[in-house]
Amino acid sequence: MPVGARVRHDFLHSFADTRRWLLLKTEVSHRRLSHAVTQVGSYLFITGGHDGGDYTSDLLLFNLGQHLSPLSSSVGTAVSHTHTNIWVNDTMLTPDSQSRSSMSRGAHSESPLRLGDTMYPLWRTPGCLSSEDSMATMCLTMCTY
Amino acid sequence: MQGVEPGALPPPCRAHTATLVDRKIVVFGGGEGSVYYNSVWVFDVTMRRWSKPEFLTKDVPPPRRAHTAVSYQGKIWVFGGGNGMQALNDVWTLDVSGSMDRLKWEQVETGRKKPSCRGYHTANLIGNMMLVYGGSDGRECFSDIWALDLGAFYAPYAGVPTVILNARGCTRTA
Repeated sequence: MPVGARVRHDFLHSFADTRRWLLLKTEVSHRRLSHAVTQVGSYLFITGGHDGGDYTSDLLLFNLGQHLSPLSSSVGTAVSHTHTNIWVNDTMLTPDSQSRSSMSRGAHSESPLRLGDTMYPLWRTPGCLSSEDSMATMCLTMCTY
Repeated sequence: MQGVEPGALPPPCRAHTATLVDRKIVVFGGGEGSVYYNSVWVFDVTMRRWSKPEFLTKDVPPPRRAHTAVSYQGKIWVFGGGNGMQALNDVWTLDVSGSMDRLKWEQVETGRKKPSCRGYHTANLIGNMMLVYGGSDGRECFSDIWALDLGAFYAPYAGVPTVILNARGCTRTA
């Protein structure tokens, strides 16, 4: 096989049936192993695990909308960005009544944070949550950080 | 079934994966003490019965535990884990779109850029992405987050630029 043809064959073969990994860059990092991750709407809720030194009871939130919306149209359907493009309003994380009022205000509201809006930053460790906290309380608590 | 008596049960194990496919739980890998498995057991939740499928191919993933698995479009996607000697970062698919009696493993080539070898990470299916977070290779605890596009398929001869090496070793794109 001529050199040019071989290079072309190898190059094409390298693309055939090949999936690609993409490293997601984050401003803050948290070491974790043996943790658990649950998707809720456009967030990953990351619970517990070990950071290499100690066991942890942290609950971390990872904003999927910020990282995956540009990559896949199938991911960001529940995500609407505000004008800052940093905070995300996710109706999956909003109690029903608040969800309806939030949605009625429109997905691209220019208003700042309001009570009842569910807006989380990229990473969040809500250390003050208790088991008695309802999701609504959790939303309000987290917005006060 | 693969030499399994009716009513047989999988051996005791930990750090395996159990993935729901339709009404069947597909259990892969895991281990007990220094023994690591690469076996697949299927539990039919309606019949409440275990079975051990045959494999259509000889190429099967090496034994492992602390790996992850997600189900996407008729396949179970397995990533990483460890075999007691080393951590792994390979990707395998188990085709579960047909009969559960005979399954097919296939290793997926993911290019050079990939997560380092690891186990005890997590993997979540987000849309068509498999998101892998954290884990450990036995020495280091990781904080990186990787996404593998399970839906991407780069078909040869379709939209791929052709690189031709000329006599001087320079490349041009056709």
